[in-house]
Amino acid sequence: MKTLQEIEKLTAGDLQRIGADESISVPADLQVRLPRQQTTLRGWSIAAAAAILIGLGWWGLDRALQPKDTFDDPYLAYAAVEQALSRVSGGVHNAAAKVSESEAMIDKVNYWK
Amino acid sequence: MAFYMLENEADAKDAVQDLYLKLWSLRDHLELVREPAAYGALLLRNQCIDRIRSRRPSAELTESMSVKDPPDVELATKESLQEVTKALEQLPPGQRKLLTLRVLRGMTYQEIEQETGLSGLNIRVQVSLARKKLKQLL
Amino acid sequence: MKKLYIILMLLTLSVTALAQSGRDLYNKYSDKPGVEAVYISPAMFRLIGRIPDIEFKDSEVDFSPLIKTMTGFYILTTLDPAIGASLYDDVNRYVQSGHYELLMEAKENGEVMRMYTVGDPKTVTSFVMLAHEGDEVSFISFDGNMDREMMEKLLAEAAAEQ
Repeated sequence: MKTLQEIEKLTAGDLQRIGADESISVPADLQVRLPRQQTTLRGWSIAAAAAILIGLGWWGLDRALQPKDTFDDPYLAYAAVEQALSRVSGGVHNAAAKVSESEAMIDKVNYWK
Repeated sequence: MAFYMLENEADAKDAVQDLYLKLWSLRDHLELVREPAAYGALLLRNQCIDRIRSRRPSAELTESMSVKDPPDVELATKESLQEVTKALEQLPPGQRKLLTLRVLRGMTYQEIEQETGLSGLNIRVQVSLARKKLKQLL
Repeated sequence: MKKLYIILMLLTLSVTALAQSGRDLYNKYSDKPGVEAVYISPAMFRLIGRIPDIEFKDSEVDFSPLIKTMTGFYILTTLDPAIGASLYDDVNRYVQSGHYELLMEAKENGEVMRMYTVGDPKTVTSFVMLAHEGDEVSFISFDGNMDREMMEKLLAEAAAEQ
């Protein structure tokens, strides 16, 4: 009988070697379990490889989700942004003009003094 | 004079406008001023100094200034007060109030934001619009 | 094998969790018929940043210092009533779920325009403008690391010029 200490000293590698070693006789009804044990190591490697591929895939997916630039030329792009900002300023102007006449603004300002 | 001190047309125009507003707010005390031209000039100088200080804290202040055109300033001071009053009344009340807070009380936009609860953007636009309208009217 | 399924599921979930972004809004609508779409990427903004002296001035105000701090830019516009309504709702949902604060708004004769920002008192990380004027629904948004004071100052100056 092997002692507990000896068993504890066995590493996973040792165990796998032992499992693979067919010279050690095993009772017949236990034979069924052997294939399962070998798959565990392979199973883990597959899982690890899959995780890496999925990780790369996620990064790839992120890249694929990136929209396509509308402009190739930075000068054109800049002009488009400037134009949009002009439009936004127009909106600010209209909003401010409306607000200046409003009761709400007068109340807020008068509250102070 | 303002242009000489500030070396920038837009700033100079704003400074002169601020001067008018300040004079307008002091209108009740102006009768006591013995030399309105010099007084006006000094006020303008102080306005410019404040402006330069807020622009670049480490800048050297222009000490020398020529008191040119005193007759112009005197004339401008007395007549313009009436014009300023009329012009201010034409502003929407909210804008007028905000302009007052900014120019006469010298509040920063952050302070006005905190006191009124209006957004910084809104306040800035109202003040810019008010200044622009005054420029047109005066 | 179970672990694989779990990993796959987690990843799918995390990707759909990203669905709350200007980019996803853009991806959803940019290919639809009747939608005008403009997108400028961080890479393009880096190129813009390298332009030495930008001279184009659509207005009297120089926006270049602000533009140089942007990292993304989206426009979606449509006249199609059905797509417009859907876009309008989606944008509203988007600004409500993020930490967007209303900056300004204008409502008149059934026309609505609202502007929002996200960030803190010093910095704006995202700006959104949503407008519904007549038949047109438009969404303009830009992201970046923008100085709030600079943004307000420039927009206010340009607004006063109009």
